Amino acid sequence: MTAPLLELKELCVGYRRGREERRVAGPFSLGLREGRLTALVGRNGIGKSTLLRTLCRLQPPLGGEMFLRGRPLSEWHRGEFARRVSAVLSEREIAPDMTVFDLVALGRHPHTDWRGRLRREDRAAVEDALSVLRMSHFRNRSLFELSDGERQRAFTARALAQEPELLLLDEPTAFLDLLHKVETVTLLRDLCRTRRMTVLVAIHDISVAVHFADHLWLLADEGTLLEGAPEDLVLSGALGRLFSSETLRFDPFSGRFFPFGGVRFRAVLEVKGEGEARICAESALERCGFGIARGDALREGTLEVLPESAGNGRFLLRPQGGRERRVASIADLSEELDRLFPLIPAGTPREPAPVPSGRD
Amino acid sequence: MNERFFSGEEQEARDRRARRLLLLLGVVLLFAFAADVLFGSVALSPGQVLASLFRGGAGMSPEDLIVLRFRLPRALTALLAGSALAVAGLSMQTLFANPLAGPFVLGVDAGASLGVALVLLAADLAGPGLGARFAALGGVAAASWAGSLAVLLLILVVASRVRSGTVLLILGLMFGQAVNSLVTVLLHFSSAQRAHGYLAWSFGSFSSTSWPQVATMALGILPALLAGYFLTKPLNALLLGERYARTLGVPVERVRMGLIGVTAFLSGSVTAFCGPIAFLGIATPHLCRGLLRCEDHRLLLPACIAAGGGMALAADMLSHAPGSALLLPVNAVTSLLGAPVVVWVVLRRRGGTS
Repeated sequence: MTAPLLELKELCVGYRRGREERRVAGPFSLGLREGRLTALVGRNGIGKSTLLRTLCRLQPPLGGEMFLRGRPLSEWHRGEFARRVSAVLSEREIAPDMTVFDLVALGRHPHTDWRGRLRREDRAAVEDALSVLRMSHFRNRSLFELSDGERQRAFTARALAQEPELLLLDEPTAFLDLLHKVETVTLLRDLCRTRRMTVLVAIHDISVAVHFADHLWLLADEGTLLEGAPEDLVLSGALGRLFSSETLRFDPFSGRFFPFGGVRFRAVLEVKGEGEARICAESALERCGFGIARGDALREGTLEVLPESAGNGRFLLRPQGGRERRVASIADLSEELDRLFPLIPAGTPREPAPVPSGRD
Repeated sequence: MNERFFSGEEQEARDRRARRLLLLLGVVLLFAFAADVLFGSVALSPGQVLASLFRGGAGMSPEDLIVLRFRLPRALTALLAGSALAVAGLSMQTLFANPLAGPFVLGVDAGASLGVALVLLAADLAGPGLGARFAALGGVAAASWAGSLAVLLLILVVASRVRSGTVLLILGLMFGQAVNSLVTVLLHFSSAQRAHGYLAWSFGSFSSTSWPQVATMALGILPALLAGYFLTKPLNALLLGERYARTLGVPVERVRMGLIGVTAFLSGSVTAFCGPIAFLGIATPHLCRGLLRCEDHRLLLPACIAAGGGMALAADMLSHAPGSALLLPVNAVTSLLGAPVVVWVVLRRRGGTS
């Protein structure tokens, strides 16, 4: 039986300057699940990057031990280590004039001879990494010509061309829109499945991590590290606690925040209808501060979402004891709602009453 | 379907283009070398020059003397100096990830200047006769070498303790400034004649080298160039920054020491025999990157050798203003000649944007 890929024992990470030590996180003892994508999550500044840099041997740990395949990290020869572990770091504005191909080819560095000549298998690995990340078309582009997302994919391809057992990534999805975030994470997860790779990735977006990671490492306050399947951490309340504040409650599944305590709805409405339009309408109602009536709850009106074929306005609003209104878009709907259920109750003066001023 | 095959060809086409350009640079270098030997203050026909080259031995005519004693060593000096400075500049620019870095960024020239200034001042104190004899014996070159070596040792000691490249760069700059002000103080207290001697040295020149001096210079430069070639792979990795280089298994500290050593040897050797030659070391790497349109040091390093040598030869030729007795300072010519070329290449490459 082979030794576990990565094991941490009483690891403390942080910075040392002279005799002063600033511990960022730790101590914690745990192993990384092999062949899985583990997402490292936690609030800003909690030490995700510090931990990843320590695992890349870019900075020494403050205490404890780290083992790669049973051998202490520090005992690995640097070349051998580089053939097993590769990284995507958080720095991005580098080598703007380099072409994508040259960047990815640098990933072959630990595998090539002293001149760095690419053999046939090196070229194959580069081509493979390029095509997996759909960057083949960009091979001759310079990095400064790429968008943030494309550049990020290029750096990920570089790390992949290194053909590591363990891939460490520091916020590879920062600056990406949601689609590209999800794409990147699912792509990495597929790589774990298809190439027997193990990925540890720091992710900022908690709902992406919850939905798409196999496993979570959660850096909590006081530098502790909780692990588990995403759902385990939701059930234990750890995830919700971590990102909630005194006034806002975090829902890890939806990635949305809700105000704590008794919410006063502007009104409660029943929603009828089907499909995406209904979901959007409900979401809009919640956003605008309306409650959605379920079952026999009291309601102050009905919103009917008509099928697309209805034409001429899909949203039919029927306030209790009022005139029926039909609007074409959510924007118009929210204006109509503002008119029916004013945010500022009628009768409140719009501006403070002028103070009568006498001449002195 | 054939996309992979097709783009592989495209890749090779790019490499071929770079190799062709490299070859072209080599040819240009040969021409520049020939031209520098053929043209000079005294007008000689190509036939005369060729005849002189293959005569040698006893019974040399004045023409033979001009070609063998002056033009050939001068051209070789320019060639060596240009390549050395270009490679030194390339190494420093990549090591410090700074496009403005050059061969003298760590203060090697300041050390050399201090050595030269000290010798000139000492010559003043020792009396004019002794001073002149010392200078004639290559004392200036020796002093310059000693100064460079002292700086090199100091930098290596500091570099072994400092982890950050930026800090090292700042320390080098500060050190250079401090030493330069020492030189100013020394000059202030030396005679006008000596001060002028220093000034002439600081203008740079390829024409004051004898054959033994050329040989000494080559002995310092050629091994350093070879050592530089062995560092091209880590240099490529360093393009991604020190952190990425480390994750690729590059022993960054050792490579840094190696690069500093190579650079100090290259620029120290040049400064000893030619004075502080400005501009070439900073400009040539940019010129090569623009021409080859790549960042691969395995191509850039030979390109820098060829282009640096060629530019130094051209500058030398122009500084001698062929057919006239006029002699311009090399430093003025390199900058006047080179700046527009580099501006053109850099602007063309990025289309003037970003």
